[in-house]
Amino acid sequence: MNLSLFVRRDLDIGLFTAICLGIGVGITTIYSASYNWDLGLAGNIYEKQIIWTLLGFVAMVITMVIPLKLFYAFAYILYGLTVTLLILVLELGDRRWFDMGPINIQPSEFTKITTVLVLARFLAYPNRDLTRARAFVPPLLLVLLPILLVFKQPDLGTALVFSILILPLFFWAGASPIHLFFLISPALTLICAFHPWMLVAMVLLLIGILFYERPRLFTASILLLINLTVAIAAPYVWENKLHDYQKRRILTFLDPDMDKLGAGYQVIQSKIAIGSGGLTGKGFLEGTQTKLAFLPEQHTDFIFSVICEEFGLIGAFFVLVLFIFILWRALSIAVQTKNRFSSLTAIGLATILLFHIFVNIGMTIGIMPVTGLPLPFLSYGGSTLITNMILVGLLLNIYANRYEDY
Amino acid sequence: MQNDFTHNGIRERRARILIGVVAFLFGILGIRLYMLQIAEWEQYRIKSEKNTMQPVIIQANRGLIRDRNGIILVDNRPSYNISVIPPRFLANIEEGKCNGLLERLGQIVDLPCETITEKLQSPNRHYYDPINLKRDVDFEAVSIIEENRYDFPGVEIQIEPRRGYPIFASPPEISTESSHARHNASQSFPLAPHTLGYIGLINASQYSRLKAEGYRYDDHIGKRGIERLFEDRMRGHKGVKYIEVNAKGREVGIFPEKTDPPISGEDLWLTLDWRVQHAAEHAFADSMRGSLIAMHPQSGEIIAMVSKPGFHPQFIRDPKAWQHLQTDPSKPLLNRSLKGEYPPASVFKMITSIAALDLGILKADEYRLEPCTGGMVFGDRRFRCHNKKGCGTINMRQALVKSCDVFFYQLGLKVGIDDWHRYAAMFGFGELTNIDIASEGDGEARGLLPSRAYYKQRHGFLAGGNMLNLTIGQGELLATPLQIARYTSALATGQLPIPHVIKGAQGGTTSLPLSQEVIKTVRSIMTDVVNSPGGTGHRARLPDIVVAGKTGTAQNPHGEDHAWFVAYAPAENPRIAIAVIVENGGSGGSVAAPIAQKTLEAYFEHALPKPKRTNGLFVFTNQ
Repeated sequence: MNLSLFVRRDLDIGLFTAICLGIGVGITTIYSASYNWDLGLAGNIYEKQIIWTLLGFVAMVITMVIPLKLFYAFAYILYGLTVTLLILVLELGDRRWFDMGPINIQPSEFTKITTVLVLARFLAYPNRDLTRARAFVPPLLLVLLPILLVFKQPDLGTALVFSILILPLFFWAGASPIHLFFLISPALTLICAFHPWMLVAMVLLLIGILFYERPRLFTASILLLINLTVAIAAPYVWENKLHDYQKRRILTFLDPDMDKLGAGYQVIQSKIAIGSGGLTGKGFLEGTQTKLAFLPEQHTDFIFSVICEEFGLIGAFFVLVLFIFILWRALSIAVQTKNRFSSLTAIGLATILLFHIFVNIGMTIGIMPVTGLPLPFLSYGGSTLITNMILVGLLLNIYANRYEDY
Repeated sequence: MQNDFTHNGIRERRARILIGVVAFLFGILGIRLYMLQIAEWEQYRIKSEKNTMQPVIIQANRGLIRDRNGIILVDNRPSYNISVIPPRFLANIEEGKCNGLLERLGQIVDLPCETITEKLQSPNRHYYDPINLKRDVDFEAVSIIEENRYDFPGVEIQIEPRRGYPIFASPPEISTESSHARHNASQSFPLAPHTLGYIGLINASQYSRLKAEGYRYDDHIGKRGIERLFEDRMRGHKGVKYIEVNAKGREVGIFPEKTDPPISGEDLWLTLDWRVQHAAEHAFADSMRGSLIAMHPQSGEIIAMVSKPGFHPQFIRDPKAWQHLQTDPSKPLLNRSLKGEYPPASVFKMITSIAALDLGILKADEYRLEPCTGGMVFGDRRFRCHNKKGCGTINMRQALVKSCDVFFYQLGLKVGIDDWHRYAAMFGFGELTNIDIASEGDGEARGLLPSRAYYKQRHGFLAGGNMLNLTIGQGELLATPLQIARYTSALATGQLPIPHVIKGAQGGTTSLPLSQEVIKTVRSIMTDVVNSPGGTGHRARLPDIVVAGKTGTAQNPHGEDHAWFVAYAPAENPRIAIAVIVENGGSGGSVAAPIAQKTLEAYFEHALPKPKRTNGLFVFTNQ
């Protein structure tokens, strides 16, 4: 890899600039979020975030210069390593992270990337026949493992990131949308299982599509069996196997208003902060919701609310456009790249970004559950920022080598 | 292949669909933002300017821990915290100076000014959240603050439920009411502290992991034992009320319709019987080290579980006392019942006997082995009997009653290590007991049951002398008191139970693949150990109930012998099985058996419905 290529046509300047802008907006907002009116100064967390950013750029550059071939060759090993770390963190660490003095290492962050790599490698195999059900099984198992481990931590938000990953990857690898519907049908049945008419509609829809598509009898019966089991078991487990506190946890996850002190309060305050920002916002360092500390977690999960309060709809749309641009770049990198593995990797990475962005912003405006997923590049936090920089490093690497096949 | 992936036309068509998905999702976000910030802006602007609700947390009562009859082992008592709302308080003091208000407050809570100002800088909080200066203050401090509340702006008294441990000095009437009169932290010593565990202040990493579940940075959380294992069930759900504050943070009203009352945590019922537990803890002097476990042999329900020395859970809040507990060489925090590993000594001789009986090697009343002359030469070593004068020519019954070592050396060699290992494994040695509180909780030890493979791996070969040590329960062999208690239960019933402490937990038993005849013989011998004249277990006799048992005295290279005693009663229809070990206690018959006897006495006096008296003995009917 020739380093001088960086500054010429092989650096995706648009993507790089957008990332820098995003991080800049993030640091500015973190400064504002930690600003104290009484004392007239800000806390030191924005300085920490600057240090994280520098480390992040180092991680990004390292990721950029490692030959993509190596990511392909070591995909399974990297995946195995990070999954082992996930098991170790459950057993030895603090369930979610290893406490390493000033920093916490959160293996689930890195596992997101290695899972994309391993799925991309599996699906990149040229003779993979995605019309057959059996081709879907290994990737499903590959994501199921981290899902279970992360779910045990318990970190429901991150578990959902893993589960959403497979859909766009299968789609990009050439699977038919109908097969993808079969794939997610148990999840849909789970949602419908608590309402009789919806359940009937779901079952009819499934049977209808089965008749239309006519998969092998064996596949069809397994699919029906799984769906029926889910439909019958879900209400039973809910009624008989779950404790009250577990039910309450699930219900408040789905409907934050139920938890007036925790998630519900956060969402109400976040909506007030965003709504009161109006078109142009209250001005930098002038957000009352933020400064009087009605808004919790304002430098991490709810940083978007601070932007909306102080810079209004204009600020909010600026951030949205920035994210759309980043996603569009990732997608066109996936289209342009000759190599199938690289292309699939780019799609997987874009999916991780999109899911975080949509769930985080959706949470602040009250249309998504409160999951604790941070906003990429903007939220405070070293582990997440470095992971996202590695992710961008991979995208830039793929862009630089888009004409190369290996 | 259905699609030629590398063909750009297909890629671009798929990319367009993905762009559509992205556009759709961002469209939703954009529309929603437009609605909040433009369409409903007026409404939210007014809300942000004028209202501003402040949540005030109402703590939930933690679930109580009750014994099998509902008697409360752990409950909650009210405690008082002195807390400060920093912005209101700081406005009234001179910065950097320790005088006036700050000095007075420092005197009341007995903290230096610097500590107070430091605490007020605590980061993990909302702006107007009160910060606890000092928790669980005495009533005097509370009354000084209350009387002068206008002199202390921003200083508040908050009530918080705290764990209380009722005193069990004398047996109370059975009542499930909580009685606060019984609480007195300095005198009470809670029962079964190792099993119940304790709660403590949440630490930084737990907080950052659990804040999404409603924990606050100064909450209490189960740290060990049942308190930790059942944290989710017992913690309950905090309530909240909303007060209305103006932009300066002053309270101007309350929103009663928004109040969400707290939900108390679930109570937890244990299988322990506090009267038996209490008797056992009293019989076991706190100066001793060791463990006692009493179990219902048919179900595996633990009736009493003692680990000595004990500790008081409230010491966790006193750093000095806590330091002392952690460095104490007698390890009071160690739960010896589940984690202590000891050589089981003569208590283990029943294994060799059962193997010999079941394999038809020797009958209980046969005099076929060489007489004991106080020792036996094997290889180039002399293996001694604890009875230096020798036990003479004896049969298996007499050998167990007198606990003759030489008899068992010979029998062990006849059985051989493979069969011995197989029969010992039947009783669960070398395996986890899977007690309900261990696997997700504080864990349990596995012990060590050496097999031929073990010696091959460790030393390259199996020496004959190893088997001689194993057969009398010494050598590399290790077992936890819980494993020994379970083994005693299995001897009493012929079924190996899964022990449990939580009432209603899944128990279950495994039948031992042994003939009833074998079990019956061993049981009749164990009855003799306690009841025949000169039996080593005679100190465990009860006046009205036939007790069966076995003593053990484990040689300990580091000091005095460990004293073992196992028993079950009544011999004919066992209702309780018990295992006692006293570390460095000396002889099992003289030290451990009396502790078992007092525990059994308490069980038969209190915990069973009074049986009918017939022919001078109590007879129990199987329930």
